[in-house]
Amino acid sequence: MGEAVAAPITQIGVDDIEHLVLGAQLVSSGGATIGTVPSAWLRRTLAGAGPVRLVPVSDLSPETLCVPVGNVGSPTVLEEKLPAGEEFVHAVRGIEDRLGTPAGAVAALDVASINALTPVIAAAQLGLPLVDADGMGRMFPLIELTVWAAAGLPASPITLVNTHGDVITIDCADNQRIESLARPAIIALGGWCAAALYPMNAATLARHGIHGSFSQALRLGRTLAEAQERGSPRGADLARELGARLLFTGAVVEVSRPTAAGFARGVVVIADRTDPDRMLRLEVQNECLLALVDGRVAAAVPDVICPIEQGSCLPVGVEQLYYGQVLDVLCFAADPAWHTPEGLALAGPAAFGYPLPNEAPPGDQR
Amino acid sequence: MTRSNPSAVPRRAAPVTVAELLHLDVLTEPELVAGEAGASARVSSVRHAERLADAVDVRAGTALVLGGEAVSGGWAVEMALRRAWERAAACVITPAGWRVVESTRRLADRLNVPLLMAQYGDAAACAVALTTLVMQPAATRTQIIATVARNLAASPRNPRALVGVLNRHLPSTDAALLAPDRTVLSGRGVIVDRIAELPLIHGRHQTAAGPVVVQPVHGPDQRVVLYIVAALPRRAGAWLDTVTDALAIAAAPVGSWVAIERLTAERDARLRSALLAELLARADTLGEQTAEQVAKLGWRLDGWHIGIHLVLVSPAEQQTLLARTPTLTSDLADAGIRGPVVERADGWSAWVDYDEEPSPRTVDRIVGQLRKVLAKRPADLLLAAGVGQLGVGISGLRSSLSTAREAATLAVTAGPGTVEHSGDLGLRRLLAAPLGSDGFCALAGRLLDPLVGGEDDALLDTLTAYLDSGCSSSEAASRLRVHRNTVARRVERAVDLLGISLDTPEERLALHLACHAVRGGPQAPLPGS
Repeated sequence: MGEAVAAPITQIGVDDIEHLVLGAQLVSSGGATIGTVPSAWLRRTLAGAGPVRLVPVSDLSPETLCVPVGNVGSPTVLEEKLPAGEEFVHAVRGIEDRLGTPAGAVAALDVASINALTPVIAAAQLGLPLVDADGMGRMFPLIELTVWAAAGLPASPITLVNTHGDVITIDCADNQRIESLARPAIIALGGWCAAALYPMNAATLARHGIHGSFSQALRLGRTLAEAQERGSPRGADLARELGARLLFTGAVVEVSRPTAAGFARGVVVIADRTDPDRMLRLEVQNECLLALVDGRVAAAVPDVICPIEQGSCLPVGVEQLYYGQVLDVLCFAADPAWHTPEGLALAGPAAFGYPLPNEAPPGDQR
Repeated sequence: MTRSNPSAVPRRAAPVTVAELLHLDVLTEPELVAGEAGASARVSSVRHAERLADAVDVRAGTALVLGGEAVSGGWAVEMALRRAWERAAACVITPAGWRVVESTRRLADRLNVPLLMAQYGDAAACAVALTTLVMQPAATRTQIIATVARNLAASPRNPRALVGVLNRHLPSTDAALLAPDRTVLSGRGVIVDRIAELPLIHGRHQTAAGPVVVQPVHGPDQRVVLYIVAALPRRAGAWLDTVTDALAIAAAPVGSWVAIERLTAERDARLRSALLAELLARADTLGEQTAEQVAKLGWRLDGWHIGIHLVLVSPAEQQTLLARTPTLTSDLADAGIRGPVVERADGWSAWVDYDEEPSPRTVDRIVGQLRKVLAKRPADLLLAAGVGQLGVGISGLRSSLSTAREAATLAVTAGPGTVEHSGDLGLRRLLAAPLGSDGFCALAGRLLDPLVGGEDDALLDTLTAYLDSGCSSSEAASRLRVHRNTVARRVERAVDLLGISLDTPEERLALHLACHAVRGGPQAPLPGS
């Protein structure tokens, strides 16, 4: 990922928002696009508080309490039920009260979609540095799908704060039960809430976690923005510049989204324009989960599958795919922590209902 | 002397192809979803896979039956298709219940791996059933023929039931029973499109949409009366043999139905004719048995009757007469002439009954309607008709039918389509006797034979015109549009050939009658015109 060694990024300011947004959408694997509210919220916050310091975990003393934060619940509800402004501050304070320790830094639950912005807001409001690290490396639908959980670290205590300032704190010894406790709480709180979770000291974070997440997102965003402006590169060249591989280029010929029980599984079929019999089959739910080309697995979760609209060079969420759209479908390899037996058990294809036979992982053809 | 090729496999035992899996009644509601191009591949073994890993080492020529996890979504089927292609398997079979999207269809087509969908819950059980078929194809094919034969034997003897047996027990095949003019008598009408370009000839024919089998059915006189036709889908393989055999077996019961129908019709016709003949011959009272038969047929003998006699202009076989009675009866009924229609030697007798004496207008209306019916006769069955006097009771019916016959005799000489009413005949009635007499006509024909078929066809016509004109050469000449001298010369030649003279009135009268008997009346068209 990323060829030349660029100068390390040490802060995130108002001018970086555009790139951050683009990069966050890239790694969301077709997940929800970032609406106007979070960007506006971040812009307003940084305009008032100034840029946030971005630090590698190694810059922190080992016992510093790092608190990962993120939005949980429905991002669409966030567009309508506007934030009061201080939700993340209350969430982090809740953790501090619970642990009896002041927080020394803010981290990210994930750096995909709007959760690339919310930790920056939190850090700015709390006046704390932002650690260049996150727990997922992409978007996942469930709280327990983190490399931290894969390593056996507990997600709780978790504080959930809504726009009214109501706080629910969850203590749970078994990460497997978190979802069943948190989901009803999130709904009760109004559909979305600010969350602070997986609190850990810098030493632990240094050992477990995905590092360089924000730097990565900013770099990807900048590369993408330049490609948009210049009108090139596209396709395989763009993939290379982004440090991804190109799975397929083609036009959407079928979008099939049935309403089944539970999450709606959909299928999107993309046809190669030069050889229309050659097709990419994309299995999607809230994100892209599996890509098959001619019956062979081209990419699978936990790797990030990202469709980019060729013309506009914008990442496209699965909700926005439509017939006739011309796409470059890219694949970013997931952090190696996900390609361990524990990681795959949590977030591999089988965990999402795709029991693939054991074949060589597709990412090896880089 | 022929030598059989020892290495040739008899077709009944030929290996099963993928396409045949759709026909041989082992899969429930099978459907070929995609990959048709590979459907003629042979299936040599069957394997079932509950997980995708089970399909990894599938052998060439295997039908892969998916179940459980291996069919948890279209994505799994696509992976199975890919695997099948890599290992040269014969086909992939899946249960229903997963969504087919374009990528799956295209993949199967692209890789030429047939993708079948069928109704089954247990993949292992399905695989076992298929294995039996694949290992012993001859037994399965023979079993189908045996089932067809058994059901034909037990079926009611009518075309609908018999063809129904074929359509029920020959899956993915459309069968129908056709008349020689391609009217569908029973079975699946879609077959008409399939045979549009084909001649109806015994045997197998290839069309763009697949093979078609034509099996003729012979009547009791050994002539072809009907065709059983079956249309198969493309790539039928050895299934074609099975269908051919089944149709050959069905030809016998259908043929026996034809024979029975024909015998029944003949018997009924004979019964009617015999009964009518008896009615017309006897006195006014009826015997008990006769009365019973009359009642059974629904004939009314009391009340008023108008009799009708229809005569064939050119003679036809009894078979044809019988065959045409139903159509004629229904055409007459459509024209408002409702009553018995009975076959006679030269045509039909029919009559209409009334409770009260009908007006002359009624009779005229019948004459008019009859003319319309006769005008619609096909070219091979031209008729002329006579309508008789009103009559009441049995004796009235008798006289009405006999006067109708007289009128018909005269109508025939006037040409096809003519309807004469006996009341209008007047003196011409007298001519009915000689002109209607076979003996007289035969004698006249012999007498005038020298004039017919000679080098000069106009002799008979000229002679007739001369006599019609009251022996006036000039009038005959103007009728015939020739010169007066031509008429005189021809008449002289005719008289000379016949060896007679025209001196006495009796000779002239006799000759005149003879000319009309042989040639028809004055309205008959001149030969060559």
